Amino acid sequence: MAWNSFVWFALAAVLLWLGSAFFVFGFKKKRIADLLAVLGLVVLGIFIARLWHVLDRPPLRTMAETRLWYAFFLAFLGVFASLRWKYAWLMAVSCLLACVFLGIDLAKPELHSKTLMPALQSYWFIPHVTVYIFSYALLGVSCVCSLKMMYKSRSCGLDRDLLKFTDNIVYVGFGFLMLGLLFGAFWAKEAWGHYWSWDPKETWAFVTAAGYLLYIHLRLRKNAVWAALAVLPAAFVLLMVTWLGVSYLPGAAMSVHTY
Amino acid sequence: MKKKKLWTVPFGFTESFLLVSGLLTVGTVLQAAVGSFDFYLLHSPVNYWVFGAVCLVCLVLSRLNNAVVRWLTGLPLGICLTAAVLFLAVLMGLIPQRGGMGHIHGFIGRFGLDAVTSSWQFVLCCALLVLSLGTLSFKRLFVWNRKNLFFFINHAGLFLVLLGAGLGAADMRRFVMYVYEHQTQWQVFSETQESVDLPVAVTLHDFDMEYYPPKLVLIDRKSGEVFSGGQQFYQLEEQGNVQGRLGEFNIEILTYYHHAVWAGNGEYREYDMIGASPAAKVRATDLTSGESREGWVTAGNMSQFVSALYLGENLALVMTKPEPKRFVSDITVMTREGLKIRTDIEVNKPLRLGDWMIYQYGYDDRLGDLSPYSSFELVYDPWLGVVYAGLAMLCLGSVILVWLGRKEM
Repeated sequence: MAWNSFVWFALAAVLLWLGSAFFVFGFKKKRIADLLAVLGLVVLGIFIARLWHVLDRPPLRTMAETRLWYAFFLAFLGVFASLRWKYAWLMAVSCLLACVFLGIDLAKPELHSKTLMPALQSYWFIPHVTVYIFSYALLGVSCVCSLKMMYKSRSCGLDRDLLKFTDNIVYVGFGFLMLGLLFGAFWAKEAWGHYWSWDPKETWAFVTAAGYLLYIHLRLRKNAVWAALAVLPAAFVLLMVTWLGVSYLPGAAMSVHTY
Repeated sequence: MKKKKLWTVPFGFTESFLLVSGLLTVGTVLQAAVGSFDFYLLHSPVNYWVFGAVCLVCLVLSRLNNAVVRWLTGLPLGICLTAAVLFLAVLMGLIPQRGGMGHIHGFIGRFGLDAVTSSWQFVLCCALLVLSLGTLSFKRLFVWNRKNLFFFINHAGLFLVLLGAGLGAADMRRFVMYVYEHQTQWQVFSETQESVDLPVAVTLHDFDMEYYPPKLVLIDRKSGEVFSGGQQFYQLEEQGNVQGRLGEFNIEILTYYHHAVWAGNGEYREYDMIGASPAAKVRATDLTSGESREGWVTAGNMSQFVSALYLGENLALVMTKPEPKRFVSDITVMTREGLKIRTDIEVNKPLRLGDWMIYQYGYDDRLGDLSPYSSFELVYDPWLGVVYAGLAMLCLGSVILVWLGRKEM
């Protein structure tokens, strides 16, 4: 089974990404750090491709499988930010966060059955989940940026460039978040008979979208920068509840979204 | 700069916050006094009139340029309303919702927090949000430029979704219909289990199911619990994959039939008929002692026995119930107008017939492919077009958002 080899692929990726972060923070060697981060991506990418091939279905069903993609996208965005905008620190933090999610998968591997229940057999399945996970990664990056800006505000004031970058990341992330939500609505109409049933997962997806909407609108006011920045970590907490926390809430027993 | 006095125009954040809080308070009082908002009051044709009236009011307001309209379409109110709806949705996410069933007594039930979407607080906030979004959308529509177009697509899209879904909720009906093979049915059961005659009839010609190959697991013979040392299950496959490990045993699949029936004298044979079940002939070798055992393992069903392979005093190798891969009904749908369509429907592939959608819903779980009936969910939603127009606009808006980032929005 492909999942048995996960420990080796995950360890390799984690070591490469830790190395990358080490070269960013310890030696300030950006080139080597970039290379290590890219290698980590390749390793995890090969594992995901193998898993897909062996399972004979997209590995997007269980929470552990979605965490794999999250780690992949997070590191991918970090590499992108480093190569395109020279934000090496962001790549390092993204890689460290990606390691955390791989760590969770190592500690809590779930059963990786090949079966895909009929409700999940839809052309909406892949776009709905990947677009969501990609947006989660973008919004995770925006949360890191806001924390850095708030942390550095005392000593350096507001980093205007980073603020601009954060705004863009949130806009793009929110766009993907909405696409994930809308694809989910279209799919729900096809599978369950209604586009929106206020299922606990749907309710929290709505809450998350409203959180980022709040940021976007607060940022349109000139004197509300800090309030807006404070919204980002809070919205990210809501996002985590939607993704990982819903199953632990009292209403979850009724959810049709538990896999 | 001199600080603006409270309640002097233009209204800012403080006034908006206080007004939205006031709205929530009014909603709470109403909820406690008269109970949940009854969406049925809006049923057709009332909702068509309301839809027209809301659009007209928004259009008229958008042409006025006074302090009230500027506040209604302003950022402070937008932010406060978003925060209020977010707050209510968080409550909805934390408190289990009853979804129209039963009543919860005490604080939560009294203030409608166990059914937030039909609480007055939520309805009033959404109503003001719709009014704000509609007026704002019309306002931008009359000043035509690229930026306003993007703005319009997102805000008008949300306006249509909220208004269409809210008003449509009054007309939407969901029914479950049970149809036996070779029979025609037009009676259904409503959500309250009342029998209703519908203008749509369904004839079931055939119901068919496919299953995934099942798994093998080790269980404790006394407790029946799955033995959880090492690899937790062995996935059978229709072809290939004949050897593996499960706990301390090496598993060899000597024969696997996806459709098998009991052939007598301890054997199974391949036979594809209704009621057949998967069967595997397995050799399990204990890796520590080298001892091996051989035998048939099946999960059984209503017409087949269960058989397990006993491995010593404590363990047994058993087959899990096969999981459904696909279930499909061959049906003919007829309407009063004389329309007749024959089609296959299955999960994720419903049939659309005007304002009706027909879904594969279920079957007799205990019998699986032996089920004599198939059940269908019939959903009537004449407002789907309005909502989908809004959802399509939001989709387009989201793509633009992804494409442009913050640049031109």
